[in-house]
Amino acid sequence: MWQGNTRKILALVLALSLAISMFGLVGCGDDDADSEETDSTGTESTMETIKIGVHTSLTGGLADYGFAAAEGLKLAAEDFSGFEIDGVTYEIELIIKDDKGEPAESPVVAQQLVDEGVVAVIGALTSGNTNAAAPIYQTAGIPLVSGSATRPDLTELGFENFFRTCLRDDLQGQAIGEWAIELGSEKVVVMDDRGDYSVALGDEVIKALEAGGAEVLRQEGQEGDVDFSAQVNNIKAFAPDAVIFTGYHREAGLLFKQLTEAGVEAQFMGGDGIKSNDIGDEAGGAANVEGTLSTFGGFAQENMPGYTAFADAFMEATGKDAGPYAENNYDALGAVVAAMELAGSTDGADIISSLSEINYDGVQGALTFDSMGDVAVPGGGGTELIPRFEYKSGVWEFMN
Amino acid sequence: MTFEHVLGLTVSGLTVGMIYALIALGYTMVYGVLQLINFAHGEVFTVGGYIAATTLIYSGVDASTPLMAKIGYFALALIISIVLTSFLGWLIERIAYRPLRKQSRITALLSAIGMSIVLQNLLVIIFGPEPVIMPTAIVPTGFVEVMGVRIRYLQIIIIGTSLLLMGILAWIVKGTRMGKAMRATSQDMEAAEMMGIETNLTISFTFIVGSALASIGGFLVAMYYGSLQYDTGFLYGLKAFTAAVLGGIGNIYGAVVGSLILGLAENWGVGLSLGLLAWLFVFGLVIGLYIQVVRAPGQRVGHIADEFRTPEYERLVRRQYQFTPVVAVKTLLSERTDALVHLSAKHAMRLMAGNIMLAAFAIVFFMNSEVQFASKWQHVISFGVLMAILMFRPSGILGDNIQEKV
Repeated sequence: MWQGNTRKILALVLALSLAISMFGLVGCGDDDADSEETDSTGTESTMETIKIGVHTSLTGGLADYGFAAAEGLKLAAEDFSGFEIDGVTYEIELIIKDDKGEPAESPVVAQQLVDEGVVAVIGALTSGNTNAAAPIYQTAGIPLVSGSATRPDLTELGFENFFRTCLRDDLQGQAIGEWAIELGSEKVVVMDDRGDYSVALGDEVIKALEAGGAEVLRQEGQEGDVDFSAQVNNIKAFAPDAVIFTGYHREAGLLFKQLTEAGVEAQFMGGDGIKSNDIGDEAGGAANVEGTLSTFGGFAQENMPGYTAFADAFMEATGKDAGPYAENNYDALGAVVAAMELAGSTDGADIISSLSEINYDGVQGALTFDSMGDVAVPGGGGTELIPRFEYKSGVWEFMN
Repeated sequence: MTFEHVLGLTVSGLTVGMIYALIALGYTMVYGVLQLINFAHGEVFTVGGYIAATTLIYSGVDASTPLMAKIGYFALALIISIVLTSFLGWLIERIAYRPLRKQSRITALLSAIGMSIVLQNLLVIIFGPEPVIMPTAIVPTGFVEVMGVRIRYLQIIIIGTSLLLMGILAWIVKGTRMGKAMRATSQDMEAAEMMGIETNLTISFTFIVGSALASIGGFLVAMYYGSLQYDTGFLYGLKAFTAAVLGGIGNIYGAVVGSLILGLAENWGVGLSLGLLAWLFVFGLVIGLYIQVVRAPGQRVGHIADEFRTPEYERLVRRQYQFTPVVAVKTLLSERTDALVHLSAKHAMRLMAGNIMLAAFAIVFFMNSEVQFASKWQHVISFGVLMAILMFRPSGILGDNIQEKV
């Protein structure tokens, strides 16, 4: 009897502590409510804090991209804080949330940000995670501006709240394909990781390769896989001139390592997903990926008027070089602030409607959006906009 | 489709299969003794790799280290990894499974899943979410070229080490007192206890041996792929567990056979053209026909009680298994309600259906012999093969034909 009671009490206590810990996790961060202060002098000048959500991936395979995005946004928050609308000065407070790079986690993070009461969200980091989160932000009427989601059809899916400050993958894919043809490749392998971003980019690359008359072998991996031996054997039998992997750098590193070890001598190439300096470590030594080529989904650094100053500020704040898409994320927040100033309002619907009318001068230069929410490139823009990089002794070097 | 390509696929399939086998052995041993699926085993494997890699990173081994010192560091990393990982395996059993041993199986299963999640998160907390990178200097980079295929020394080391460890394990189980205690405990724990066997000690030993094997597997994987991430063990654990079920869970040789089949299926399935894959179906058909025409009727005839055993009756039973569906259908529809004949006819029809399916697949594949499966089908194919095998042999390839409730 005694034992039975103790057990019941123990079970109850455990269940309660579990429930409390769950609530604690869900509710964390709720304690900082909007602060509204009036100047002690009693004038009409007021200060308000405005919450901007940052939906990114700080852990997981793309943690370095997420770090660059978050740090770029912190710089932007400092720079843009203090803008005024109708005599009210706004301070920007960033609510940074991590979706671990997993599309399944993305809607959860989106809901958390919506519940936080953010007026706009910068993110998500990857195309897959953006695609998974966009419907939630759309329902909540919150503008979503991504600095790195490059999958072409994201702006064509009917999300009127979605904008992006990076370029589209149909342009990038075409650029990779043309580059491979330029290098004289006649037989090319295109491999993807079956994710949202990867498959779309791979499709675009193949279009360009086939237009250039190359013979293409398509292979598929799986994000998170470490063993690509079947694909490596198939690639070896195909004897290609170039192998283009359109996924992210961790799988790219493993694939290129296994290809090198199997004795495949081909030019390794990839898109913005592999342009991380970590790829050397992930390939078991930089020697395995020496000379690998990549493109990027933003403008070339020399074509961005504000880049040098931005990179210096980034270095000063973090002690590191500005990572991939840091500047695009900075401009995403800049665009949102510009839209708020133009609309004279911090309401989600007003920001969305004025985003397509802004003319914002950012790190990347004068930035306007077209009717779809993509960056409007003056004069249409061709593949010459896409910057090229080569991996040399541990770092990606700008080529063009 | 060149011979080179086929050989390359086979070598990589065997390497991957051997790694699966090292993990699958841990699953199957624990299941054999406790009838418990130790879901935390995949994480134990990751921990083993992490410890080995971390030791090597701290040792500061690099390209300039002399060979003897490298071997020393290697041995040190291996020993530290085995000791700590074995301790972890013992600890898991002690805190997560032993208190629940008298409870229903589902309770222990939940505890196992919980343990797996806890370990995975602990790895993230301690080592961070980034993959741990193996120092490249310690990894042998040489290779031999056999008929145009590069076989890395490391692949040979992996296959050799795995075979050696399996040999040792087989000796422990068959040839030592502890092995005898393990077998006794797996047969009947209470009876073993009454015979004076310390079952708790035996079970702890099982966990320690399984974890030691997994830690070596983790070390080999970290060397082979150059890095290891906190969640790598989940997928490996899942595949190794499937391999153990495929081979017949609880059977040590079955775990090895199942793992090799899984490794080869992953590589051959999306690497070979259908023309070559068809030969596997032909091979299956040969076995299927042998079972249908020789083995199964022999067993059925053996079931006939002596007082009914007449040459005429035996002929009747054997006729059910002949490769003529007409006979089977006829018997099913006929007046005769003799239980054994009725059962034989049903059994024969099932076997026939299987063989006809195999033949149909072979024909379709031969007709499209140049085509190859796209590599996105990799996991679908390998798990499809497993499901097909388990459908015809629910207890696994080498498993005992005992119905169990899990």
